[in-house]
Parts: sequence; C-alpha cells; structure tokens
Amino acid sequence: MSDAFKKLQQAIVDGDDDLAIALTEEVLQSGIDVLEIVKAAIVPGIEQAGKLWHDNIFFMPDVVLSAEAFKAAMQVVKPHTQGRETYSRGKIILGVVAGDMHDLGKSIVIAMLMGAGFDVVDLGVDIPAATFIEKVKELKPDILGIGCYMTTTMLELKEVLRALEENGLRSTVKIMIGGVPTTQQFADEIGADAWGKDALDAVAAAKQLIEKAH
Amino acid sequence: MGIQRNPHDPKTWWMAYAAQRPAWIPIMAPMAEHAQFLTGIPARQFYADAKINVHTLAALAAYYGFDNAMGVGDTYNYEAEAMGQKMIYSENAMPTVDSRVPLIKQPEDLNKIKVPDWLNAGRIGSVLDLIRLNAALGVPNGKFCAPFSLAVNIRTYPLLIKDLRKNPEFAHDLFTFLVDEILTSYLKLQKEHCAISAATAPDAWSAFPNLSPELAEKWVLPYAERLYNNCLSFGVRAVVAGSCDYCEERVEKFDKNILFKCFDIQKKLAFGMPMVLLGMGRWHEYPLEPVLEYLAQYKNNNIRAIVMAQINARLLRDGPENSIIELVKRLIDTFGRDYNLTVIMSNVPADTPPRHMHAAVSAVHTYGRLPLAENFDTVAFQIPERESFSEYIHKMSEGSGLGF
Repeated sequence: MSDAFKKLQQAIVDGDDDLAIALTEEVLQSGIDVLEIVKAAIVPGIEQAGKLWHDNIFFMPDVVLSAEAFKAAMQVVKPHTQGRETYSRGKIILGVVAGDMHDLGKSIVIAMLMGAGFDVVDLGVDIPAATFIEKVKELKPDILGIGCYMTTTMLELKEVLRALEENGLRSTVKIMIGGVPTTQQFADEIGADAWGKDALDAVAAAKQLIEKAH
Repeated sequence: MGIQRNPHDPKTWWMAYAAQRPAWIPIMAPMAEHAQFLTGIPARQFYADAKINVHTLAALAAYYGFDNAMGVGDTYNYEAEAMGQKMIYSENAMPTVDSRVPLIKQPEDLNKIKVPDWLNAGRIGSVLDLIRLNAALGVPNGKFCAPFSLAVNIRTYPLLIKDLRKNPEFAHDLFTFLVDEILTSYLKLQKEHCAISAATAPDAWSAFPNLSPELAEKWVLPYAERLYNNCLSFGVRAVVAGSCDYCEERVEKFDKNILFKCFDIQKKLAFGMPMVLLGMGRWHEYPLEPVLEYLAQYKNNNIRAIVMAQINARLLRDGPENSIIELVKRLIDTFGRDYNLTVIMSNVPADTPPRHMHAAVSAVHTYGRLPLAENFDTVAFQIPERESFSEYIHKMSEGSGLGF
C-alpha cells in the first residue's frame, strides 16, 4: 500500500475529517484511479474503525468521528465516480420515523453499510410513512432500513409496515429495523425481516438479506 | 394512617397507598412514555401541562405500587428549548430537539446566546408547576439537564465530540457558559419559586460507551463539580446522576475494568457517597459477580453502600414474565442483604404490557419484603390478576377520571 493510502486510511481511523478531505484531494490530483482510492484507502479506514469498535478499543466518540471522516472522504470522491461502474452489494434506503430526530445511530450505520459496499440513500430523520412509501416506489431498494430511538416513535414502525402492505409493496423490499428501543422480538412482532443491534450487526444482517434474496 | 383519599386528586391515591406499605426493597419508577401511552393523552398536553403529567403519574404509581410518585417529562429538553433550540412536537411522541438545526452550529454562535428570561421561556412555567406538584408528593427536588447532555442538545453529539478533540478551548467555553450562566441561574430560579434545596439531573449522553470513562473524567466531572459549588452558594445541592452508567449493548464485550472505571466516576459525581448505578445496561445478561467484587471495598469496611439496580426496559417490554421475575430475585438475593438496594424501573417502553409491570413489582414486593427470606425458593409467588389502568382510574375516581 502506498504511503498516501496509508495516511488517508489512518486519517479515517483517527476520525480527522479535515485531513481525510485534504488527503483524498491530494491522491485524486496525483492521478490515481478514484475507485482504487475508495477500495484501498477509504473503505479500509472505516473497516478498521469497525474492527477497533468490535474489539472494545474504540468507543462511540471514536466511531462517530471515523464515520464522519469516511463520509467526508466519500463526498470528495463522489463526483469522480459518477458514470463509473462500481460494485454494489445492493441498494438500501434508510430513514428515521416521524417524530424522531435522532440520527447518530443512522449516521454510523450508513457509513458502515457504504464501507461494506452497499449503495445507500439517506432519507433523513422525521420521515412520515407516506415518504417511505414514495421512496420505495421511486428507488426500488433491496432493503428499507427504518430507525427509531424513542419508545413512542418505535410504534411508528408498525405504521410504516402497514402502509407498505396496503400499497402492495411489502413483498418487493426487505425490511431491516434498528434503534435503541428495538429488539429482535419487536422486529418479529411487526414482521420485519431483520433487526440490527448496532451498526456492525446491521451490516451483517443486510449482507444476509441480500444473499438470501439471490 | 389517616391519609384521606380524594377521588378527584390522584396524588392522594398514591399517598393513601404509600401510607400503608410494609417494609420492602423500594422501587423508583420515573416513567413518562408508558404512562402517556396507557392513557392516550396527546403528547402535546402530557409534556406541557404539569397537572396532567403529575396526576397521571401519581395514578400510575398507585396502580402499580411504586415507592415514589412524581411527574416527569422530557427532562433533557427544557433548558435547550428555553435557550432557543428548535424542538419537534408530535401527537404521540415525547418532544425532541431538532438535531438538524443545532442552536450552536459553529463556535461563534455561543456569543449570541443569552440567558433566557426563564419565566417566559419555553415550558419553564410548566416545569416550575411540576416541581411544586412533585413536592406535594414528597419529592421536593429541582430538575435540570446535566451540562454534557445539554451541550449535546444544542450542539449535536458529533459536533460536540469533534469540539472535544479539535477545539477543546471552545468546548471549555461552552461548558463554562452552560454551567455558570445557564444552569446556575435556572436552578436559582427553582430555588426562588419552588424552594428547592436539592436537584438532580440525568445524563444519558455521557453514559458509557457514549463517553469513555477517561472523557467523562475530563469533560463531565469538572463541570458537575463546578455546578454543585455554584449552587451550594444559594443553598441547592445540584447533583448530576447517571453519568458513566455502563451500557455496553454487546454482552460479549462486557469489560470489568471499564465497569470499575465507570463506578469510580459515579462515586466522584456523588461526592464520595458509596454507591453504584446498574442502570440502562443489560444487567439481566451481565454477570453480577464483578459488581460484588467492586462493592467489597465497602462491605469489608462495614459500609452499607447504595446499589441502584434497574430492570432493563426492553426486558420489561418483551418479557417473558419469568425472566423478569428471575432478574428481580437475582438482584435482591445478590444485593439486598448487604447493601441498600433500590430497584429502578425507568424509561419503560410505551407499549410495555401492564402484566409485565405487575410481575416485576410483585416480585420486588414479595422477594424484597423485609427482613428478606433466607431462601427465596421457599417464598410463594404469584402474579396478581389486576384490572386495567383505565378500569383502575374509573374505580378510584368514582367515574370522574384523572381530575383534569
């Protein structure tokens, strides 16, 4: 691995978004293929952060900053990847239900999913059921990820699943849920296809859902 | 005891219940979402009208048999809202800050923030009412949001964490402002209008792993101490509680050394009081032996430490009942004999089945009856068959409802 790649990877692990942006721009200007930069430096950075989290070396602050640095680097390369054929494990759209503004968990999940090769669309927070329906129709994702972070907004998940059924969309998309108050039991109760205990679990669950579908 | 029950005042339902309790391990159960869900009161009312809130929670405390009754709202949000942080209100959910538009988008914004005209800001009037009504229930405590959680609410977690690492000078300025200007004046207001002498704050944003013990030592502890000292000058003991609560979600990552560091911080935040908090973490799955190992420092010196042990909120919701009962038995058997144990049931999910709550409370009241039985396996236990909460309200109020 080149020194520049090592530095970029380390900037992402260290959660230094400013440095990650500068180094990404630097390696782009040196003429290295953008997909190689993503594959050999940016993705390994977030993967390494995930591993350190798993190993109890990184805690939430470290992971959040790594995710921010990863996203910052991806923003830099994004214009250069357009029109290029990139590998994607599948398309996932993600949002937090109506009345809920907590996006910390979603943000980490998105970074980890992108790092794992998923094409991820972030719908944002406070998303009404009607918007989830509209986006599933429009974007035809493989997986719809729905998050909630309060026990009252957790009940909104049922509404989203009910709306998917009513609109004849439930069988077209796999549903993955997550968020602090959720459990596997709740996922089963509402008929979701998978539950992500945390970002690492969400990535594993998303991979399984895609594998099962193919 | 002669507590007169007034059908039109649910506070007296709990007072009458509390007056005839036997001696047992106490249950503290501050919960808002479950109460709001059971009654179907719109969130906009429940979290803004102190009388509705306190009457509902007093009735719920009497219904389940909790050992404290008090109104509780979205405690983390009041100061942020009064300072100008945008909020999101909805019909069913607790109000929440709109993290898309933090009050402090960039460090320079700190200079623009003024101390609120407290009496006319946000829902502060309702908070003062809540404190007064709670005092009537025997809980004369003030309420505030801990400095760290308040900083998250007006800055967002990722930006604040970035500040801690890359712009610590600004972070110190922010915490100093929140403590010296905002929270001190807010608690002084509560002293003047509600005659409080103590106040406690939750601090879930600084629980582990949201913050490591090292970061909590550096960013939570000094400002909790600073606030305490500020408020002591006008006769209020303001204590931040719940910081460094050990909440590792992956049981396989349970780490005794980190747990002990968390306990050490908790002790410092409690100004040396011998206590441990087993709060929002997965204590139904974590081993309890390390806690006993930590507590040995007290037991060996004949100090009866305080153990605050929470029944996991998701276990309460999901059940099954037997798992809830087993956890209660285990907690009481482990900590009830040598320590001052309090069982906590907080953050109870909205749609938790009441039968699960009855199972938990009955188990505490049965196995936690003082003096404790030598062998819990010989203690007969049955979950009581109970009317629904709405039937209970109808019966107790003689058909008139919750008095609002």
